[in-house]
Amino acid sequence: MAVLDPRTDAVVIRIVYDGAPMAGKSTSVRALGRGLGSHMFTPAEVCGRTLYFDWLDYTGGLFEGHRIRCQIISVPGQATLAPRRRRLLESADAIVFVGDSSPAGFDADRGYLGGLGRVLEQLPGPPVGIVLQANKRDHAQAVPLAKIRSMLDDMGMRIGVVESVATDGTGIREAFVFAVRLALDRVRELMRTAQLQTSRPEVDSAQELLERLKQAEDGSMDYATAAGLIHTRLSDVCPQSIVSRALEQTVRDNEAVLQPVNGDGYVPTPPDERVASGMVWPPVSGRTVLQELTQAGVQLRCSPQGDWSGAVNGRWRIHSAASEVYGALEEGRTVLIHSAQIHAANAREKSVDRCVVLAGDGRGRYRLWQITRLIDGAPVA
Amino acid sequence: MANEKELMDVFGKIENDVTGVIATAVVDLESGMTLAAKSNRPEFDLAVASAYNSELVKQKMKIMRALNLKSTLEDMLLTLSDQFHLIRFLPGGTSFLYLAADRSGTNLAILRNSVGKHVAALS
Repeated sequence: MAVLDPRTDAVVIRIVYDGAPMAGKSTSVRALGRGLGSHMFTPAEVCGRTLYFDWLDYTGGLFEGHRIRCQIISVPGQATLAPRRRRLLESADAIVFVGDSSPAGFDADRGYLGGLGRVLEQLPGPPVGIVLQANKRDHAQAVPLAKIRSMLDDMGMRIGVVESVATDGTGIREAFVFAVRLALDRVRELMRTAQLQTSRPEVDSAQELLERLKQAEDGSMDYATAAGLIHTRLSDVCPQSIVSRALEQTVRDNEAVLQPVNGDGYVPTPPDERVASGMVWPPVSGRTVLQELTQAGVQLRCSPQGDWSGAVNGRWRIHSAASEVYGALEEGRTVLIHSAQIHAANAREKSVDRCVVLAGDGRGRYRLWQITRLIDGAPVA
Repeated sequence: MANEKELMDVFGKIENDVTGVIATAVVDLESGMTLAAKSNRPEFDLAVASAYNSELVKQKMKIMRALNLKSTLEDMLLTLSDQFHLIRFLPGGTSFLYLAADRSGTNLAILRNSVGKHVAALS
């Protein structure tokens, strides 16, 4: 859990690299260390396999006037070491899930991601964001990104995706910085709810973490299996049904009949990943949605009533009513907070997979956007 | 968004145009973390410079909002007694290029032209 360390006035966050065996976790952390000018520490390793963890300590960036100290840790991927993996995952403020893009590795990814999701679900406090670092993109038969996204949809996981080739360092820094942003969204939420503690970090060095893990080992295999952290190989994602394709087409057709009404050809700027912290709800998972919107691009259409809407990859619907435009940032932010409170209060009934964003509209005003998930091409209630 | 390798290539091209480059980084605006960094002087702490310059940019953007300015921030030029510091947004607006150069080795026009040219090529 993140803390504000009074000794250094730094916010201390923990980024944990997770993934199946041989996916490239240690290689990624090592490459990151090279780029950041920090040395990776590995307590024990056998034939290139991590037994406890890899550790990298890096201070950089600035958050609300505080330096950001990152404890960067990779977990051991082997199924027999799952207790250690679970304990490390539970301490994360953000996860970089290193996925193996090779066809064989892709099967393992699904099992490991499922286990990760179950562990994170049980954690108290604001949600822990995940970045999927799709590794080994240089593999001749690398699984297409669309298939990876389809797998994530099937699993109900809202995750940002960054492509990488860990062996040559491509995409490593980008995935890390994205994870830091997710962690800072979590820290902001901890601050807002007065849960951010001012104290020395619970674990302050690799040596302390090693001792802590060793102390906690007794009988801990049961602890891991209780959470379902097993190496599961499942079949590939099922192809989309004819029914779901038809529904997607219907949504696309509905969007297509709407035409811009503005004579000057004005189209508001859709929200993207530049949106500042505090302007997106939910704070962590909302940002991953924005990342996907940015990557995919959004084509907006205007209804005769002046509402703007669009669909993204048949996966998300974005909408902003004509009345949701505000001249002052604070005015828009008040509405954003009110909207977030309503959705949070009714999360079980109506607000599954929704994101609310306040963003500049390109004309110096601020527009509130509602982004909702499409299931089988149809909006979720 | 360009990857780290492409950004490092851009740093190299800028150094070919401009003499006296001390350090260059591409910085994530939100966190102040570097996405790519190259320093030619070990004593120049680029991570610290990047972090605090992200705060500088955010403050400038706040000022623009307070003044209700509709324009966009393209670059920021800072002149020290012996150095030039240049900040220029990358396409997308989530990150910026930060460059420090020795004032005796170049001038603002060359610096600004070179950075503008190579950053535009990233889009």
